[in-house]
Amino acid sequence: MSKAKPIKEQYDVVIVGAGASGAIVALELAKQGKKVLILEAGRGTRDDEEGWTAATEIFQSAVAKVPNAAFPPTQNAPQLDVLQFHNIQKGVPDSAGYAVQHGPQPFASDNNRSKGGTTLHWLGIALRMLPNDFKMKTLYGHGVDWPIGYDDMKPYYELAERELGVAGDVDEYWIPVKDKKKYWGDYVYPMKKTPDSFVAKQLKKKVENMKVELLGAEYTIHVTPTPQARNGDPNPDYKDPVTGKTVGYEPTGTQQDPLRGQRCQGNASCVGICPVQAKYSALRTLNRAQDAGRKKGVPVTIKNQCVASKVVIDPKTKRVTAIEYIGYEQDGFTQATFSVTASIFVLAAHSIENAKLLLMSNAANSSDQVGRNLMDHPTMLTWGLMKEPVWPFRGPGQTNAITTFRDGPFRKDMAAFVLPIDNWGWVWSAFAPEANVGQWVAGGMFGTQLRQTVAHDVSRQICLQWEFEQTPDPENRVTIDPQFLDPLGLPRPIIRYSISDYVRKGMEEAFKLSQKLFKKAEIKDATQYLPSDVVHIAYNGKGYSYRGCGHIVGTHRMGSDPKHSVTDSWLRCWDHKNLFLVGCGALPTFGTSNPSLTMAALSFRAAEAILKDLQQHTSKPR
Amino acid sequence: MNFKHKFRDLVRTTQPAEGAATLPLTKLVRPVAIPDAQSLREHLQVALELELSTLPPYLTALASIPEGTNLEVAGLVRSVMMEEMLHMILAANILNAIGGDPVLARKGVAPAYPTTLPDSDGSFQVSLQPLSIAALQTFMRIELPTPKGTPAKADGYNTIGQFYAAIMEAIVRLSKTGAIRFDHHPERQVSPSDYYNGHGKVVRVHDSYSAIEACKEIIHQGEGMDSGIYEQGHTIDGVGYELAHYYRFMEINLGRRFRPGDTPQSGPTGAELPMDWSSVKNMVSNPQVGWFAPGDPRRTLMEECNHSWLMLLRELEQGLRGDQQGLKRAVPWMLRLKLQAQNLMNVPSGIGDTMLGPSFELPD
Amino acid sequence: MYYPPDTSGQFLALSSVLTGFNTTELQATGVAGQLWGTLERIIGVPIMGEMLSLAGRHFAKANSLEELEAIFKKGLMADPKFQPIAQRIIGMWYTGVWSPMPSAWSDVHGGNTNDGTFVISPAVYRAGLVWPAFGSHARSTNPEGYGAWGEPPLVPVNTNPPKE
Repeated sequence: MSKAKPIKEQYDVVIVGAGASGAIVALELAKQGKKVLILEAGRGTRDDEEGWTAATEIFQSAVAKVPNAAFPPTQNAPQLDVLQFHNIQKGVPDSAGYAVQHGPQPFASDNNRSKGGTTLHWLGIALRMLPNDFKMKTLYGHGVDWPIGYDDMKPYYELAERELGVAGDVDEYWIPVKDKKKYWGDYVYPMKKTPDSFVAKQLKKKVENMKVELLGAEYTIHVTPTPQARNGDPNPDYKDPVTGKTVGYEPTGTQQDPLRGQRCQGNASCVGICPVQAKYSALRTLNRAQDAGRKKGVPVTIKNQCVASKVVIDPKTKRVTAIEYIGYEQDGFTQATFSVTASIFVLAAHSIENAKLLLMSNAANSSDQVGRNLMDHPTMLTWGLMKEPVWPFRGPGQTNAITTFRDGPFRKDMAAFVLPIDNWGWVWSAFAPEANVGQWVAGGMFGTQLRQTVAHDVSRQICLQWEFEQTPDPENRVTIDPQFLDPLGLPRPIIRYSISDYVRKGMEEAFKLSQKLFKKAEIKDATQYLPSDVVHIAYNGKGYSYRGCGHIVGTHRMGSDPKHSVTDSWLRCWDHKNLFLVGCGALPTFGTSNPSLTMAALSFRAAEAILKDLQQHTSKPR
Repeated sequence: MNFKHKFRDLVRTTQPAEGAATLPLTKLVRPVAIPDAQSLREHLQVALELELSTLPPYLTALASIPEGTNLEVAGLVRSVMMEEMLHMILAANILNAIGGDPVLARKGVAPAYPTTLPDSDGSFQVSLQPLSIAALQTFMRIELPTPKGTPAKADGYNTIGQFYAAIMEAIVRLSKTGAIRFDHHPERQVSPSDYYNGHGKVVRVHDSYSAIEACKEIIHQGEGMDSGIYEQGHTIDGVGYELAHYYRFMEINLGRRFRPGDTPQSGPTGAELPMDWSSVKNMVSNPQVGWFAPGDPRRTLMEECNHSWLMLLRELEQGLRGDQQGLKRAVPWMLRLKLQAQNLMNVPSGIGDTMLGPSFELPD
Repeated sequence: MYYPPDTSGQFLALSSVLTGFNTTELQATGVAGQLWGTLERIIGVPIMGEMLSLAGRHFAKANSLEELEAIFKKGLMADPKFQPIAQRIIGMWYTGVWSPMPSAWSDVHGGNTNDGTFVISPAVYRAGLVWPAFGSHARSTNPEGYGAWGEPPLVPVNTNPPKE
């Protein structure tokens, strides 16, 4: 079937996907003089100032400023988008968007297919997982244990925090761990914490150290600064994670203008676009990888608009021999299929595309786990008006969270959650402030009254985001179906997804907690869950609405056992020793931490294994 | 704060101090020198004022370029402006180290426009005006390189380089005799992490060498060094910010970038530097609040803009006098000031078809 | 109250009553021309001309802003022909978005192929008045600087409840 034109150039490693995980692997390989090709399915047009400014204007021109607004896909590399998600009627799959959703709940998170990947629009939150998150099965009887633990991950977390440029405060950050000293060591983050938002400070004044009861145990509320990959004041005490020497840190500016973006300016559009690129995106790491390659005299090649279509496997050796890909012109139809070879291959196309490509190629699936265990952080919002102005819509999307419930004995019975304090009022819960204006004007308001109503109400908006841990469920999965193809004739993702009672129980308890918090903080509750909301679910006779959190995790999980996992803990496929699967899909569980930092840490770990394997590979006679 | 008359009385010829000869610029013959510690402090205060006086014209020029257009040119103007802030910080670090007290937020310290450069020979005027060829010629005059062999000149200088040469000579001479020490107010020293989005490093001043290093950073960024187009120690990186200010403005003026191998004589021979001059806001030159009656909304907008200027100076002054948070608090005023300047340039002035602009006037 | 003779002045005067911002503040955004252009394209000059004339008659009757708003409330803002246009003018000034005319209106006064839901332009979005009304700035534009979000806005905003 394949009429792929062979590419003569021989690479050490071919990477599919120019997002964060692929970029980190490329960087580590390029530093060692390895010859790397990155195939990117989507556009690569935002890596200069003109491109970034154009993307910013596209964001500004979008009526719905959804996460992907600034970065529309090409026709040939379609992507999930929150505007595509609907409630699903029983038995009627929703195929209106890129994914075909069977439900019962729509999988309501998006990703981005272009150079830079989903880090182009991520919020930038960079949490490490907690030690107990790695042992969910043993400790709480849910999900699975990781093949490795927090101690194994710690050095890689430090590498990831340097690469992403994380701002945080180890002393001030409160997390439910027994031994904080052991958790951090004598670590300091590259940059000082992102300054607390005004709304977080006001809420903290009202609820800090409040005692609340949850499933029979008492907990203490802590509002604490959230580590994030956002440029801030460098920490002069920062130590090089490899040498341990105090070296300080210098924030990286924008792609083309190093004199901008060295601090977050507070554009308040992190999800969307950071106009000054003070928030990390994989474009930074790609630049560094290309610099490193040039220094070594072995440039890293990035080919945009090249969609991987097949992982070619030698039936005898089970090794991957080539990647086939379809190259296409900008948004057009001119296209051709190519085949490229290398010693080692890396899929880094994020959870859904990685799973799709493996399923399309009948690869890596002896465990039957490919595409399964799709997870997110279902996020329930509660919102209201504070008594005094809290001046939202200024600064990063969140600077602080209540971290009390990231771990505890309640995890036997309900999902843990992290509780960020939204710094953008009701933007997520009610499309504020534009929708507020729409309602007020439709109600007849104008002039002085309108202006004063905006000033009074919007200045007081507060929203809490209850982000729940979802545990792996083999039936939450991505499959393919030859009936549903994209413009290149490649399969679209078919998604089956549901929210378990473990999460629903969490929502029930969280809603009660929200009411207690609102009462204590004198917040006038405006929370409203409607059956028409995407997504609305029921539990114990009560309805709850939640949003997808953009945390797409778990479709090719690692493990200690080839029967139940797709890769080993170095992200090397059990079935194909020269194929690595990096990205959020590798995570067996992910607790209440936004997955990007863990994904980045694992990418450094995988790169280490790839370098070792390359050494063996080249030392062996071929 | 009227140094002019005072300094004229102090004019006398001094030989360069021994040992000063190791520093390149002190080789120059000096008809006018800074006699003592107090005079050096006063001159460093003038240096602060000098750097300060360039901010309003550069900010005005930047604000006259519509947001999101002419990105390359706007980037160049912004980079120069950011570095003038650095220069002010550097001058303040020296001044603080030798026991002075930087003053910024006072009428007369920040000039009224049009103005001549503080304590200069008055050979040209600086106006508040939109970016134009005429404006660029003034900017290039401000940043004019000092020809080799030109004497240092503390007062009535013709180029900024002459002025700093006199300061450097005095630093070396006076520190050698023990007339100045650099151990005052170490807590006031602004550190590198406090300055960002501009290239160049904040130098913490604690001895004569760091003081000289600070002066050199100022001169090299401004007018270049030793008749080259680049700041000393830098090679071209494709961005062009290592170009001295004078040559950055020359690039805009001539619509072309420098490239490696270019010299001051060759001028820029690199890529075209696009600039849509027709998009620049048609701002009236040197607007004044006094043109409008109190309560006129146009006057109110201008006054609000001036308030931001005052607050910016106050926060900066506090930041340079030991309040670590002052510099941080100054930034929002700076950004607000730019936005207000942009907004004013959309409001008709009533004079022909020109628009208003920022006037950078301070209260008495 | 004074009502300017020229169309652009009249549009600013009308907009000022509708938005609660004075005409100089509106001019300072630099986007009045784009808004008027949108109205010309979708509503057309004849109806806009009528609307400005009606606004002028309201201005002529009023001696204060309070009176003017009261007259508008009973007049232009209660007029089925002009109220929907006025609401869209407010929408453009506050959020940069044009939303489609109601079909009931288009049935009577005619539809227009340019009608729909769209952001007028990035510049109009950036100038949106809803943001400064509560001490902020349109998202992705006019940032306040590192850490400014930890304190109230530089310039205080009156956040008292509105008068009825």
